[in-house]
Amino acid sequence: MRLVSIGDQIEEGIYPFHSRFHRAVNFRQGDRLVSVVHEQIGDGPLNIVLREFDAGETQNALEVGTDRINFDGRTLPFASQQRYCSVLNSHPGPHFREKLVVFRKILLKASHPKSLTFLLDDSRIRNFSSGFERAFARQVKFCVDEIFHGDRLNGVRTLAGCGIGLTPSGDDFIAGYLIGLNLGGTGVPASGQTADEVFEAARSDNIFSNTFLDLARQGRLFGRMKNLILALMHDSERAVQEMTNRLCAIGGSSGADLGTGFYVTMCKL
Amino acid sequence: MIVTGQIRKGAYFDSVTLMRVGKEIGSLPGVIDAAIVMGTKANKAILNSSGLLRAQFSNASDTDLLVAVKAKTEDAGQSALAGVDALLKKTAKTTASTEVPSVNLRGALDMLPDANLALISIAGRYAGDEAMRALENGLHVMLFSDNVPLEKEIALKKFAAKRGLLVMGPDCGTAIINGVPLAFANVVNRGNIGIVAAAGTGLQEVSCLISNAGAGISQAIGTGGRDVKKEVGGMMFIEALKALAKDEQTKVILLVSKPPHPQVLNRIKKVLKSIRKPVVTMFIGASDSTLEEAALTAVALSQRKKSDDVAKQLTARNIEIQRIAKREAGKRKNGQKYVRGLFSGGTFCAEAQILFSQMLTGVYSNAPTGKARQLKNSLKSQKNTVIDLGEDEFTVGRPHPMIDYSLRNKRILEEAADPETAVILLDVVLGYGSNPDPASELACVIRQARRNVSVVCSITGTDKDPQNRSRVEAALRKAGAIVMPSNAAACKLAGSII
Amino acid sequence: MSVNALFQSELKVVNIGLSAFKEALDDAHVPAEQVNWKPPVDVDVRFLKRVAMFRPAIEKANAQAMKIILSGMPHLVGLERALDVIPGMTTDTLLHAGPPVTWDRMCGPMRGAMIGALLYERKAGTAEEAQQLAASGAIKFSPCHEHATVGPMAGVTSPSMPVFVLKNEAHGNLAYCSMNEGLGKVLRYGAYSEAVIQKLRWMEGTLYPVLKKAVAKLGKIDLKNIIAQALHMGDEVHNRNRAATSIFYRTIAPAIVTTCHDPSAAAAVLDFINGNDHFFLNLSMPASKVTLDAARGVKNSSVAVVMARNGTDFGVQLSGTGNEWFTGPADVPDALYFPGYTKADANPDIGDSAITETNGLGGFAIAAAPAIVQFVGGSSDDAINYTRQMYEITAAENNVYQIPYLNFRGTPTGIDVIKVVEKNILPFIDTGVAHKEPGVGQIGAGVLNAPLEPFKKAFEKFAKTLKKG
Repeated sequence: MRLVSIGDQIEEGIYPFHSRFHRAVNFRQGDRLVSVVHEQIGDGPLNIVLREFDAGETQNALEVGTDRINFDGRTLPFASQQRYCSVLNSHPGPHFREKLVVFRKILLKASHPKSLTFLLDDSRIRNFSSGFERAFARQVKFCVDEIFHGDRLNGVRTLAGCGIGLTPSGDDFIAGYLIGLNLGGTGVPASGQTADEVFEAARSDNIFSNTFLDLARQGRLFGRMKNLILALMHDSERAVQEMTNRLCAIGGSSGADLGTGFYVTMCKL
Repeated sequence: MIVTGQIRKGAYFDSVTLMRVGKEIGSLPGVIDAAIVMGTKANKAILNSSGLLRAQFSNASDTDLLVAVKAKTEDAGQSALAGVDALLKKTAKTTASTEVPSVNLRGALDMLPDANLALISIAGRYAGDEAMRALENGLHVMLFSDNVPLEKEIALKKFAAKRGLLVMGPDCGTAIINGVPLAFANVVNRGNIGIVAAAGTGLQEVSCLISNAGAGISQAIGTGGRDVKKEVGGMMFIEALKALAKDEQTKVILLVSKPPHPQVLNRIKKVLKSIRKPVVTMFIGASDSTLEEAALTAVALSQRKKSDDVAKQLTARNIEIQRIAKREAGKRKNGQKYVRGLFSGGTFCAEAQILFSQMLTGVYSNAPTGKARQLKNSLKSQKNTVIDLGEDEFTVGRPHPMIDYSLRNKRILEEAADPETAVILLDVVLGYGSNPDPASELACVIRQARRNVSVVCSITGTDKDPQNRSRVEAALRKAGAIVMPSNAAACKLAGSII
Repeated sequence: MSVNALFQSELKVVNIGLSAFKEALDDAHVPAEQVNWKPPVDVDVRFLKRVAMFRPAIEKANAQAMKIILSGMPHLVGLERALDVIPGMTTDTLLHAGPPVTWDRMCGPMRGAMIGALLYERKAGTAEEAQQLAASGAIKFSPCHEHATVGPMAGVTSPSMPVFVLKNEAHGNLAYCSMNEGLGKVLRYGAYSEAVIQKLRWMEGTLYPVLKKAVAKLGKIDLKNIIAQALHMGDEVHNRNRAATSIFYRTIAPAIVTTCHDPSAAAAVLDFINGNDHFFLNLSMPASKVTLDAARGVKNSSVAVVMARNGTDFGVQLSGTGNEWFTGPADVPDALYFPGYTKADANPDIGDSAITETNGLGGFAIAAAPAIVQFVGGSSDDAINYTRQMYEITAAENNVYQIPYLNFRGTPTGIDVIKVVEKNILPFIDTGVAHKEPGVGQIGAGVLNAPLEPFKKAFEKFAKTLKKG
């Protein structure tokens, strides 16, 4: 195993074991999670990316030092240039809007049929067939309407936790919303207060959701999202296409849900 | 109607699994609706509005997993719940096969996320874009389609080379990767000989000869014929060669191609200098050697024997050929003086012309190579004639002659009726994609033809091919054909009879 | 994955194209996924880009158009003489199905129907005279669709013919359609024998006044309601109208009996309706027409408001492109032919009846009508797949018309030409087939996909006419 990158939000310390998945092992850092992950998961502000990742079996704590980590009994050194920088210091280029249209198109094409992309194309609501799924879609639609046209915080509160999976679709959407808020459409961050309020409204007992909502609030991006936004700002349509595809490849509908929240926000702002 | 449910504490599953399980539970007998979700407040509200909420769920926290089932009977509900464990454990996407087939690459990658190769055989003008999409998704590409524009081929190969990906083709009919025959390929032994070929049937011939000689193939990479031309510059030929040089399973490398453009040849030679493994090159027409010699040389090297052994082996075989030739020549009448070769494989047709140019005078072809002359009318043979039935003039609107034998069968009977014909020379190509039962296609016409002429054929294939080489050989012999182990041997025999 | 890494991995293949290659991989137990690839419609990339740029505006426009269509309330409000009510109708105008067509390009059944109409109008005494008159330029031929009218098969509507008058109660617009003559030798299939003309006269002299009085007594009849019920009873109201005709019969019969004072006339009219399973077709068509016409002229909407065929050309009109027709050659349907006939006898697709498909009925609702799938030579699974596929190219699901088998899902409604082009899925139509010679009549029933060309042209023009704001 070799350390590929380590997120800029991971400080020195000892973090107790929390949970283990096929391609990630999670450790607790206060009320957030630091994750040691497979390369396919990619860079993130709280991710440590390993080559030849092996989830292992031990439940030992993760130790992070100034230039090395200790994971599953192994010491893996890293250099300062391996720190992943999760902030974006860039502003939308002249063709941002046009590329947003491309983004939408690919998002619709590449996303999971049961992702929140039905918010972008009504016809996709057909993919929601069971009684539960239909009620879910109705609820999401209501909440999103509320966020943008009604009582924002009430919308966030009711949307948070909607949907199946570790990070419910609603939370993914809110993270996308927060990222969009931070970008402000013009590159000027929205008031920190708004983002904080949204985060507080969305906060739950789910540490996975809390972690990435907290990061989104601070404008801290994981690699795939950062690359996508950079492509939207400055790169070719083809790059947008590729980055969107990569975003949609994240866990079931998660990437697409996040993208949908982001897109809707960028359109409304 | 009843609603049952359970709470699972501290159970983490990703949404893909949960969606699948939810769907599978929903389709169990007697189940009307089902949901499997994290126990957030929001989800409870949704469960409530879809009539799936149970009182017990109020105790569940955000990170608990809720399973809710609406069923016709209590029993149906309970047995659905009992099945949840097994369903959660099953990680494979077993439901995929019942779904509608994907209509694009993205859909297919959802089903098979770790796919590593795209095999593309759609119409040429679309194939390039599809191949690019596959490369962008990190897949290696085998491009069976032909008529892909040259600029597209160059763009694909440049892109692929940058990412360390393979583009086999366009117009790549055959390849064997990790022992898997792709498109028109034969089932050969695995072994330590790696092949790079810019000639499709050439690749099939050498891989079968190697396998039939008891050795085996590590990888056989096709590049498409255009790769070694000046414009493409041998990009993939060289990439493939380098990969085989690095590959630990590959001990001997065999290169098969029509002669590359001189610039490309120089580039290949440069790479060859740095390779420590033995490399056998076979540029058809550039020398007198045959595909068979090249294959057997590679076999000898792979078994650490000397290449002289091959020469000895072939000399012995030539004596046998002369003996058969004498016997057959004795059966022919005075006016019978020409050979007529009817080929389904382009490489075989070319090899036949090269060999005949040393043995016969007046060789004509619809696809002339070397000293052979252009046939005036492809439908009418002149003197010694070899025809490539895979040329466009014969294949427009009908399947390839390796699949559809009808055109060649008709031609065999025509040639047999020509009083000047002494020998009819045929290739029979087996393997995936080829005609599933060539023996019964050919037996009847061979039986008829051999009343007047000698029929000589080679079979490209192995006993592991779906058609089974031995069985095909026995059937053709029974019909009266003389079956030779290689195209080169068949050509030599046919030429010697004249 | 580098080439050498590939050599070390298990091969997993996506097969795009020939399925035989996938079968070979299955034999070898290699994980493989088949892509049933379809070529995209070949349209200029500039148009695709332009449409992509305007996507939000288009979606808004389509939502508006669909709101109008789904809220449509087609009612039968009366019967009148064509000349008195149809806008633009004159004594020397003959309306016909499909996009505009000149006499010299008219197909056999269309010409036959024109001859029959001229005989019926007493403008000609013989078929020869009628032909000369038709060719002389003295008669104005005009598409029904340009006069708020529709007609099945040849669709020929002449000034003296009685027509149903329909009103869209939600939007106030009107539409018209002649009455259905029944099967056998009929004008709409191009027959013009004396018997055909006699039947038309009977319809004018008896059927028309009796029905007119009965409808007047009822005030208005809600056709949307009848169609919705009929869909639950096995009709798709294009090729099968048996249930809808029955409901209509139940609705109108008491009114006929109470308003018609000549018992033999009442009996004849009731017998006529009862004996003609397609009687309601001439109501389902204008019901669709009056619904869709309300959605004309929504700027930037890519929803089709007309699909119609004249036996030579297939024509399409979009909400957002005004009154322009986009046409291409009409195809011959794949049909189950009646004994003694083959595809060689068949006329290319003809009639305004594809207005039902445009409105989310007919072929789009065929999953509701398993009985006719057999009639056109398919299985009920085929029917469900046809309908399912149409959801791919429509802008909405109907709020009233439903498919029982699909768990009462709304029918796919509102053909979006952008989706047609992007997905290369063409609208599906189930239809009757006319003999190519005039007067022979129906020789089969079948299914077909609309031709691509009109949709491609419509898409290109649509892309060009997109406007900001």
